[in-house]
Amino acid sequence: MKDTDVRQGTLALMVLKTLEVLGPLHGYGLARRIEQISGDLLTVNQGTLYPVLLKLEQEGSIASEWGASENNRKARFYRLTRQGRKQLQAETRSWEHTTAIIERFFVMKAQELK
Amino acid sequence: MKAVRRLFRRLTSWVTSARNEERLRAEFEEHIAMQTAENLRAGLPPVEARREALLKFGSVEAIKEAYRDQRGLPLTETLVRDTRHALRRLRKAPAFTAAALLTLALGIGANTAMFAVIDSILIRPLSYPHAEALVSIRHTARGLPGLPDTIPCSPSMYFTYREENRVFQQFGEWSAAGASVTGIAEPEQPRALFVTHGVLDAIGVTPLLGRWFSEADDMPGSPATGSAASVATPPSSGVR
Repeated sequence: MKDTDVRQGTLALMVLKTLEVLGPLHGYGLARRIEQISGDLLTVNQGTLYPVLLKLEQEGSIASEWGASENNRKARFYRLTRQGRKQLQAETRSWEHTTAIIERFFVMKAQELK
Repeated sequence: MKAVRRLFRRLTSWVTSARNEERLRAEFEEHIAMQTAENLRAGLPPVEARREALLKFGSVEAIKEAYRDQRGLPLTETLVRDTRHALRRLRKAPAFTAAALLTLALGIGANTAMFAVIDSILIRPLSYPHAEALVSIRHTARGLPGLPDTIPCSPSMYFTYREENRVFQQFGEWSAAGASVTGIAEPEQPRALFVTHGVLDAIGVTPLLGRWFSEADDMPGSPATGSAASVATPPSSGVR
């Protein structure tokens, strides 16, 4: 199944993590990275990234300013703020926590509970 | 905290919306241009390259819409716009506005009046102690032609109730009456009730002056003393 439905919260977490690893990026760069890292498993309409970016910016997790792209075009660059870093840490923890719990349910065998 | 910050941003962005719109347009344009360039590098013909880029981006208008929904306070903005529109329409049709206002005013007024009456009569209890224990008895004789709906209480009925009933603590009879007060100042005709002994005890109010009738006052041959000489409640109570 190629069309994986991505929840907005998940996408936000991907954005934060990508910015943490790669530093400031413009919207297009972010969309490309997320596609690459997910191994094209995740084909979001690239445009849906922008509402997520706006939300994160409103919340103060990221900041943006105009700059020049690699091939000298005007582009808006997003970077992680200090608060965004904290948020990323918190959300990473909660994500790991959730996956750990779900993992336990997946490996669970019926006889173990008897 | 995050929510508060977000609300604040939304509020301020309302003011800067034109600039934001411009920024959004530019950002989208850049994004699509970069994707087109990428596609060109991948060997697509120019027209195809741009088309693919647009497809990949998704519906620009839908995304703009989602973006705007997050940016400002869409509900408030819509409400303000709708209100303005409604007011404009009303100003354009003064006759309709007047009729609508009048209808509303009359409707609200009538309802208020009706509710006030129902509230005081049916909903709010009488302002006597243990008002829920007060019972009014009427006698009817359906099917007997020529009789009024409510048959007046005859002395024999009254005496029977008074002597024989085991249900009521007090029992009395009343009927509406008129009275005149003259001789002191401007003559006045207060609303009055003829009551027997028991009525005022039943509703549990105390006289302002003097005493209520006692059983002795109801007896034949008792002096016509107690009658109305000493009973009065303040005019504001409505039971003069």
